[in-house]
Amino acid sequence: MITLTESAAGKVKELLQEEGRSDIALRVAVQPGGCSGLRYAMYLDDEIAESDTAQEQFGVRIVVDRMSAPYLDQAKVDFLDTLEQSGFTIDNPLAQGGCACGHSFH
Amino acid sequence: MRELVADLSNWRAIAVDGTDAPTWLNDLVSADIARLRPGEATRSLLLSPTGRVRAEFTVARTRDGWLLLQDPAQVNRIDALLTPYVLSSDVALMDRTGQLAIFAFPKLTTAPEHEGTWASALSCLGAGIDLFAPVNRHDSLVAELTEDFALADADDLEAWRVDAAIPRFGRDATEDDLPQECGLASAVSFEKGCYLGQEAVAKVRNLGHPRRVLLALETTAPVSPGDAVCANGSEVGTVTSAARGADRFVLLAKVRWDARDQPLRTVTGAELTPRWR
Repeated sequence: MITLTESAAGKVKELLQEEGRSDIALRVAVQPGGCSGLRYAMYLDDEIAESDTAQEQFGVRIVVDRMSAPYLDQAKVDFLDTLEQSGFTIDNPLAQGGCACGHSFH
Repeated sequence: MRELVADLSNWRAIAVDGTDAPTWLNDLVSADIARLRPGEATRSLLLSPTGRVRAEFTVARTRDGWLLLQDPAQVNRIDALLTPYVLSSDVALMDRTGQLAIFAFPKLTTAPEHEGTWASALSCLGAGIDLFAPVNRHDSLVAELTEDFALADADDLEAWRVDAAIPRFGRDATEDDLPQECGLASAVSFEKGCYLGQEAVAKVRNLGHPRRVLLALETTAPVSPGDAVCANGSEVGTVTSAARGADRFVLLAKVRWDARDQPLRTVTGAELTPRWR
């Protein structure tokens, strides 16, 4: 199952507060596209399907659809806020490689 | 002499349906399919993440959607290669092989009119126009078309293809080739943005040159696929396709980049002349 770091969970909670909603989940998905064929999608979602896998980590509900789950089984979502980089990152040991811009993987 | 018509009804025909179909396809295949209007088709490739050719096929836009046409001689089916990328997209790949009568006219730009048919250009042969109909029209169409056209056999088609210098995956192109190395760069869009394998093919185009190129050559001596191509006494490439032309032999050969402009010969010493520059 995908994991969320405490830092990432903190940022998601901030976003949820801005939205004024506590009933929505963080959805992480794999979609076709990019130079390497697959790319990540991450967004707040209030529609949870029965086939989704869902769990709560650090107070954040994280959901993954059935088709994306095998690709994200060992993935870790982090949030970086440094001088060099700011934003969510996904470290996925199942990815064999990615494109130079880092937006897609295979 | 009557023009050729080829019966391609045994080619793989894969319908791509669903609301995400156009963007999903355009994100994956090498050609720019967004520009196609109904009745138009384009040759395309599916590339590996490192830019190598995995499949060659034609994307045709029909009145109802999208059709992928692939030579059954290719080992890997295009629908099997694309299926892992469907994920949660609203896309369905449906095998329509055997449900359509498909005829190709490699030298025509306008298809002959026959009841219950529709046309699509570019032909999946790489030049000309295709005519489609439900498969129950197959036999009657063969009878109608052969009144005006000569039904091409495999040898006729191969001779036409090599003379027209149209590379074929499995012959002139392998899974080790980038599109620019096997004469298939015309099946690649360098303008449409990101798609599977785009980074690697763009890098070759923008930063350097391919390791080898496919040349259209002619000679007076018989040649066969697999024959060596030599320059200054050294082997610099291989004949990938060959056919007997009207008064000479025509061939496609994969040659090292640095030898492409050198005088080329067969191993028996016959001169190999570029057919055009």
